[in-house]
Amino acid sequence: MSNVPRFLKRLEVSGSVAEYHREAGTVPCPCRTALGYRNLRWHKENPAQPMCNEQGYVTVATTATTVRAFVQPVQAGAVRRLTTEYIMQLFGEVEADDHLGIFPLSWNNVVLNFYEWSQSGEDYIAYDGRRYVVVSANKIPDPADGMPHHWEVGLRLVKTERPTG
Amino acid sequence: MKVRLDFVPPSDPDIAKLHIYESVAEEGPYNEIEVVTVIGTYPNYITRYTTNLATAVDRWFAIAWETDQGIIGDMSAGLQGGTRTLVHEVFSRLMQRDATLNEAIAVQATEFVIAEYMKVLDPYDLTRESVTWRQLEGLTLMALARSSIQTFLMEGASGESYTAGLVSQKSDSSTKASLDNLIDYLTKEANRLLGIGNAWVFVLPDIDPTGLGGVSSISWDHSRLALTVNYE
Repeated sequence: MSNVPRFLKRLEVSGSVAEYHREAGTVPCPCRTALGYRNLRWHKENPAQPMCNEQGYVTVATTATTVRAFVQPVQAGAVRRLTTEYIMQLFGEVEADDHLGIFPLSWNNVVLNFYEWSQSGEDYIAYDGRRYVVVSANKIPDPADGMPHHWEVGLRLVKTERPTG
Repeated sequence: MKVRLDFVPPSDPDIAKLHIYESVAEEGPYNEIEVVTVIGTYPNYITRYTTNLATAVDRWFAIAWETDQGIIGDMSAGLQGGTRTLVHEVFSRLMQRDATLNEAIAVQATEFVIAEYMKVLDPYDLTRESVTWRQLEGLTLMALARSSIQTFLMEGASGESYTAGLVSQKSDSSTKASLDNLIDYLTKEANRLLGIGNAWVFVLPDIDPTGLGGVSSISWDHSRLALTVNYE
């Protein structure tokens, strides 16, 4: 019997509130260069045009939902007890504001996917008023049936603001 | 005319539309006045909706849910505008007391408790005004106890402990014992409020229905729903 329902119940009771936000671009911004890079100078020269997102798209399909998750600073005692190898695998070189996140596979009927996470800032986890990008993600199996049980992700603070038009 | 409709969300994951019907009389005929497509997603469907298309507030209203395959389910019992079903009232109070309950199980427990205690075939026939405040609280506690039984069974069936990656969960005997005690307390308190589960003993004067000897007493133990006749 799967252990996922027990895990979800514990999350509902004790988990922290976080926002899961992912964007998939559909219409490229005219500012993009021939090589596909975003060109902020074009936006300064065309202030009436809408601002694109960090990946250079003006129209995006957004998946945004509030979830419950366990989020801990990497300096917290519980995280410090993890093996150095595991921490290295999650974060590489640890930075001051890195967090470890334990997330459900889905929440409120929204499937969460932390693979292929953009590092530009349009995909992010908002927690405690700050935004984080996912720098690594592992889908952990349930020992009871071998099916996926939860996500363990490395979160790194985003220090820039979102682009605004 | 605006009329707010409160209802219990469906437990099916493939619901796409909500149909709203209106009638002059309870027995019908009902005419469809609106189809709502913004109903949320499973398991968080909407539980209330205000229609702007009602003819009058005191008309009778009914709803039906449609799946994403276009199959429209049974129409609900008609309910006069401005009233709430007892099922919805108890369910709302139940979720306020324990928001972690599985909604589908909570609805089932609510339906059962109302049908069982109020002795009705269809618990949706009753409105909030059908019961006293004392009964309402008793029904809520009883539904809470029955919903908690599912949690208790899940804790017991899913093993003592497990570890998956960084997640480790253990259900020790004290946790299960405290939940057991809670269910026991809720049941007793609900029984007290609803006035059931008490032992009643009626002492009657001697009667002699057979002419062969008297029956001196009849004991009726309500808690075991058994009738005991003592012959002397």
